[in-house]
Amino acid sequence: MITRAATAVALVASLARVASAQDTLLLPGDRDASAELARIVSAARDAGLPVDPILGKVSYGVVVVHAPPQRIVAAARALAARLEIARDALAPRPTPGDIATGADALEFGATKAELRAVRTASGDQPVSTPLGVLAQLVASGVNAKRAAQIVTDLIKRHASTAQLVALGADVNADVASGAQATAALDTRLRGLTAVLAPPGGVALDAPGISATTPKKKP
Amino acid sequence: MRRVGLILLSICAATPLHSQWQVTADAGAAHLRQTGIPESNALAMGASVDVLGERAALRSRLLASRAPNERWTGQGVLLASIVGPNATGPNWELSGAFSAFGQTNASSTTSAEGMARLRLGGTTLGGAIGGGVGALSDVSGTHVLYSGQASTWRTFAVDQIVADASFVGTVGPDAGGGSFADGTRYVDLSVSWRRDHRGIELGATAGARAAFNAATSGGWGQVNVAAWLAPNLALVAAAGRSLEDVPRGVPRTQYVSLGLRIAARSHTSVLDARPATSAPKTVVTRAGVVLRIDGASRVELMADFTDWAVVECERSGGEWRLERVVPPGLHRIAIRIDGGEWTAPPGLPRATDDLGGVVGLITVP
Repeated sequence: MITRAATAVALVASLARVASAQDTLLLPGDRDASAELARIVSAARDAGLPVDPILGKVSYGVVVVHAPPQRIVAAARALAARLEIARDALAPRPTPGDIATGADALEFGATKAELRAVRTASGDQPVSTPLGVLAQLVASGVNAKRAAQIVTDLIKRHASTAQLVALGADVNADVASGAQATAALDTRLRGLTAVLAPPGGVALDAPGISATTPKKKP
Repeated sequence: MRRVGLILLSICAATPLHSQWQVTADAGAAHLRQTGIPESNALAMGASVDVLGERAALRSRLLASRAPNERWTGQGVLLASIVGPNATGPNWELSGAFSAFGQTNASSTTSAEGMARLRLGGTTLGGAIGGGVGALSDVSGTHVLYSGQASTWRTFAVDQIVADASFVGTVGPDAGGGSFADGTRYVDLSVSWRRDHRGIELGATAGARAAFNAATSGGWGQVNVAAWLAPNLALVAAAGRSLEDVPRGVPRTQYVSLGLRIAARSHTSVLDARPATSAPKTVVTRAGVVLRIDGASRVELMADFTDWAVVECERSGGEWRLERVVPPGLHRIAIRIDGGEWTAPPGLPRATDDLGGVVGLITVP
């Protein structure tokens, strides 16, 4: 464990230095793969994309999965492509966190159109939390289109980030207990939407209704 | 009973992307008391139709009661609202209301109002302020209605609280049949609470009125509960004391009622509502990770926020904890128990990524 921890720390340190000096091997033991990774990272940085997710993917592949170098290179290339798609979908001014989470959502089955729908519903608010919940729901087994509809609808009904995260956590817990993902989502959604305003936040309550006895004519 | 008339308001609404609708019908018994009128038991029936679109809503309520002496009372309210396009931030709202109240051998009262409000904030925390004008027609003639309102609301997990202040005034024809003179004026303050959780709906309201000119001051309150015995059937009970609702022509009333509600759309029932879950087995906040794992002597964790370095969790009673700053966003986590295989933490969705690794996913707000 000590060796593994030390390897992880050393790798992360070396990856961090890539931004300034590209003479450090990203994949120790494979110079060609390292050079290819460096080109991928450099191209992403030049394109204005966040590179931390790519570096994290490499670290994960080396330290956790022990994947072959070429597989890590392919994963990094695919992630760079997803980052670009996510940035385009979340325009006009996505944060690095938005882009990274958007790329994660794409990895787990969401589409560019669904990311765009979340952005449209959120206005200029950060979208990393709703996109994270979207990714969680899809990973739990909820149909991606349905999950995106739910998330965008809740955003339009002004659900808070805490409510969105709680919905995702509740569905996860129900699925872990054996429930079907979509059924769990529907059940949890009823409880949540009962206390949310309709989309657009239209006011409630018809006042003054009561059963009465007749009022006599004057 | 004189026929209660309803006029359908035609509204121009944005095409709803995800419309919601609900139709309910209530039937039951009520015990009523009104100042100056003998107490009585009555058969009470009600119906509601709500259509909620993305930017527009239409709500209607009908209520009828039949006392043992064959005397009927009927009341209806129709509300239509439309809001501006802003998904967040300040938003305008226009609404219209039409109501009618009728009873056997007595004159009816009808009213129509239009109101404009400015809404701020969202569902979790927000407020609105606005005013309206309308007309009220009863046995004494036609009166002009004017009103002002300010509201604020706060939503918690399953609870919602609304505080409301409103001012209502009427201007009616004077005794000489000439120009209009001041009629009723009053200010109402109220607080309402509503909860919908695991098949039980609860509500309570308390309010107070300060009256000027021809109205009566006092307090009012009501409680109501609906227990959904089945997805489309609820047992409903309510009790309360209400003051005069001048715009609707409804007199002061005390009541207790019990009935059944049938709904067209399903609601979570008390029978199929998920039982209170035990505390979640994995909790990740900005301050770290808490895992509820029984029977383990050692728990290790690695995650994107540890740069995939393996860290050992500390036991704390029945929990395993890792204190670590976790930034907001989506995170991938794996744990290992007693040196076994790396796996997703309990309660988190398992995700297999493009490198073949299995991790749990969690979003930190």
